[in-house]
Amino acid sequence: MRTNATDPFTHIYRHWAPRLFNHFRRLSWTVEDASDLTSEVFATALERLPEVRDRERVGAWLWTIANRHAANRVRGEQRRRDRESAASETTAAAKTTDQHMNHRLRRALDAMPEDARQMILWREYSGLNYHEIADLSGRSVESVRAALYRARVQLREEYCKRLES
Amino acid sequence: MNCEACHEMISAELDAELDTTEEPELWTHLAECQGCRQWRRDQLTIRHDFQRWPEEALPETGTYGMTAIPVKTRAYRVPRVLAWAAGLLIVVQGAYLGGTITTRDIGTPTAIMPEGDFVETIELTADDRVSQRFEQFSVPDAGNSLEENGG
Repeated sequence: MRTNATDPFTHIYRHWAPRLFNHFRRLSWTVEDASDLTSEVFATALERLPEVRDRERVGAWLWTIANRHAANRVRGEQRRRDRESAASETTAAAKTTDQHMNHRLRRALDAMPEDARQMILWREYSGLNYHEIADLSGRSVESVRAALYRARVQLREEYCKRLES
Repeated sequence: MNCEACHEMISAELDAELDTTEEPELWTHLAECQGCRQWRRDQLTIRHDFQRWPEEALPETGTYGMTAIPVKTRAYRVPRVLAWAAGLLIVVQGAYLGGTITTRDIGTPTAIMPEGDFVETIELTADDRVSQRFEQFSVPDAGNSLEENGG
């Protein structure tokens, strides 16, 4: 990997790689899969970086690549194993309040359909606005607003179920 | 406004995407409806949980194949200025050579013939050139050679 601090690619990598990795983790990919996906995204980005004219939009461009790689991996059925491992963690690991909260939210997200989970994470974790999500998902802004509302309804239901249990 | 429409507006309001014309309507309904206020509180709790979800450190280089980023795929690119300069040079050279070939007067074909101790330049016709070449490679006469050798 390049280590030159002045290299624009290194700068982009340092800024975006942790965010993408954590985004994949929140999408329930294992550490290994999330790391692989992050590598794949940046391998593609490395090849195509010279094509990027507007450096202000590097973030949106990376999200597009990330979205494509994640979708390909889902289609290839190289599926995450966190759902299975999450069940085994339930009793043993979650000791503090924060761990309980994280676990509850993660399980609630896991129970949601892929599209809804992606929508919520783009908004709540990655902080993308409706226009950016519309660009990434190929929807209209109105459709994004409606989809996010439906995703929130689902997430609240799943979250409250786990709160009660 | 019914509660479902209110929830949809709350969702947009949490994302700071609510239309200014919708805001009074939303807050009027929220003031009257405890269920919708609770729905909004639940959403804020979930958001709060998202914010407290700790960031995980990216696995260090080499641990999970992060070294797999292929440096070789980053092809070397000739700086644009150099590429333009090289292109311009080729064009100029091409134009110069093209102009020289088409405009230079080649003149009448000539040959330089060795003649004793001096060099004489003479103009040749096509027939001359053939006969000259023939004489150059012809075998010397056998009788003359004997006389010259005293035999």
